Amino acid sequence: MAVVKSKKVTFAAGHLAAIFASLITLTPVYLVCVNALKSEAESAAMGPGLPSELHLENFVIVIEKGKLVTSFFNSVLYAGVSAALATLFAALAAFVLSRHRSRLNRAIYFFLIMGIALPINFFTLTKIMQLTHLINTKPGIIILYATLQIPFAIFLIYGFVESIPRELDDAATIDGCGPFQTFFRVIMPLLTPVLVTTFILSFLNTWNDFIMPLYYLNSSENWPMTLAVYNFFGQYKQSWNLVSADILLTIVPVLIVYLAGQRFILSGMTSGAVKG
Amino acid sequence: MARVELKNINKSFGTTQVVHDVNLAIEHGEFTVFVGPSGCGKSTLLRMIAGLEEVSSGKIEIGDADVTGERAADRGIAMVFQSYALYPHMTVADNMTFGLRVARRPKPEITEKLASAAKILRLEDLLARKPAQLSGGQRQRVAIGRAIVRDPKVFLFDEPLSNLDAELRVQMRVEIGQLHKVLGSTMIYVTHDQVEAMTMADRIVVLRGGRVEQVGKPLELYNDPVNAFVAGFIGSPRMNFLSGVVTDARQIKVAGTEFVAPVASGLVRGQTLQLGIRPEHLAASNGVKIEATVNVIEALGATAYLYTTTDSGEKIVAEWRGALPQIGNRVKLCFEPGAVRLFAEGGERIR
Ligand SMILES: Nc1ncnc2c1ncn2[C@@H]1O[C@H](COP(=O)(O)OP(=O)(O)O)[C@@H](O)[C@H]1O
Ligand SMILES: [Mg+2]
Repeated sequence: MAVVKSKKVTFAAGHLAAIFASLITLTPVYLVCVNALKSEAESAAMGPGLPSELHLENFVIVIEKGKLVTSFFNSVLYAGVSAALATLFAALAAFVLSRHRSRLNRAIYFFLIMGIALPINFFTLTKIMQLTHLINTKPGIIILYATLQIPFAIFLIYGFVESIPRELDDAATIDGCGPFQTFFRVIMPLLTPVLVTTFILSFLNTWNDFIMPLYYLNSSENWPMTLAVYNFFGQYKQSWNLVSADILLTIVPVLIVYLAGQRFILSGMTSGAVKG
Repeated sequence: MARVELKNINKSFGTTQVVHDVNLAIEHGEFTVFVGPSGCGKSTLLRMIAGLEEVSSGKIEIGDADVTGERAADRGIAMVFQSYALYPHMTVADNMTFGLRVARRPKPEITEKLASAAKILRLEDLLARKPAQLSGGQRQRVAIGRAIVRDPKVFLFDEPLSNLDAELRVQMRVEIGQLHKVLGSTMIYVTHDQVEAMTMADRIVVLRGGRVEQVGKPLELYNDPVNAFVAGFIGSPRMNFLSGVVTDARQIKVAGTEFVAPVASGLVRGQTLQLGIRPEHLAASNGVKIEATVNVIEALGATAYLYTTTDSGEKIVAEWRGALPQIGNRVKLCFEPGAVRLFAEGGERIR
């Protein structure tokens, strides 16, 4: 009896915690939703009240004035290409590091995944971006994003590589594959679930980032969606209704990608990374 | 012609040497089995022949060409792995033709080779399936099919049957034997199972600790082992080893009896040695007698095995024909002196 009771109590407590956590995350979403539909004056306080009349035209204004179409494609370009690059290079690296566990390779692996935890030093990063002439360029921000995603991507994929029997590599070698063919024709197809996971997570991280373009892209032509909010939020004037509408439009693609890829994210995270 | 010759092969992983100066010549068309306890270097030796592992020193020749530095794919070998190592994302047909496709062979050749291998192995109906949809035995046949399609000079097998259940193992043993007859290729087969070695091999190579202990036909090893290790490893149930002491030039005292040993040269009085006698040689109706107490009886129908202990506490397994004794009974185990193999304390054979 006592066991059943205590189980029930934990269950209820868990539910309460989940509801509480949901409230915390949902509150800003709710605020953004209601304020996106208000007039500029009504939204000035960012209050929780419902709009007195619906201002759906906010979205049209935002898309036009904020050059949201351009920044949408910028975001797709940055997040898509950097996620693809990060996934590919991380997979190649994880394959080699996991298959040849020499002392040196272990050291390299730990050095690389330290990047998950260590903060970025913006001073040196800026120096390097200037030195390589990558600052304020699209390729520059793509390379930067790819690099930032690589540590976590390697961490995710590394454990998965181990779950692929080495005898497959041997069989491929006997069938005439060199290291690259072995990777692309045998290993990579078997890594598909974790590669999809890595791609999605990396895509979402980059899509949601606000800091890097703020520092390393000065031309608004190159801004991703997250920065477009600056068009409505300045020193002298804050249009909270437009800011809210912009934020909503920025979230939508993320939601679509997340919902479409949710299945892969869960399976990829649980079956591989845990073992790694 | 595809002889395989290993000359002074050594292999070290870091500072541990796992293969010691192996010299071996395998004739064309021979079915050779490498056998030895787990960890004795069988796989390492096979992988060096395959080109999956580099030799630390020495030379490997296949078909009179030195292949020591050659890529695995260019050595004219094919390998069947213990875990089958089929590519899970490819169909059976794609698995089997992968090597040919990597080598960019013409389509008609690929189709033809696939068809002929599939026919030999009765895989025609399975070609569109993925490995996950096959039984263990079918997977192993696909793995063998993948080897056949490569049309190799030498087939290499690394414990290919150890993942199968006992019944299927016997069946596949026969199939591989038949395949060897049909193809007539040189085959090297690695196993830790001496029964597989005895039943399949033209020649057996017994390995221990990275060294070749003895090479020979199955019955040569069985009847004429060069040392106690080979004698004990080959044969099931295992050969019994009893300790004896030389009481006179050829007189040996063992387990309470004395007999004249069948050795050519004289022994040193007082010398201790090991006396090897196989269970089936203890079923003789007369000869030298050892008294022992029965602990366990294993009746197999046609024969029975008695697990016994002598008065001096040594364990003896004996084959038994005739009426079965009771557990706890004392029995007389008889052997012909000629059936005994003598080994020095270090294990070397005394002839
Ligand atoms: N890649 C390796 N690195 C280090 N030691 C190894 C490696 N492969 C095999 N060994 C060692 O070499 C010895 C022989 O191994 P192996 O050839 O696999 O034995 P077997 O196949 O006879 O069981 C074992 O002691 C094993 O631990
Ligand atoms: Mg082995």
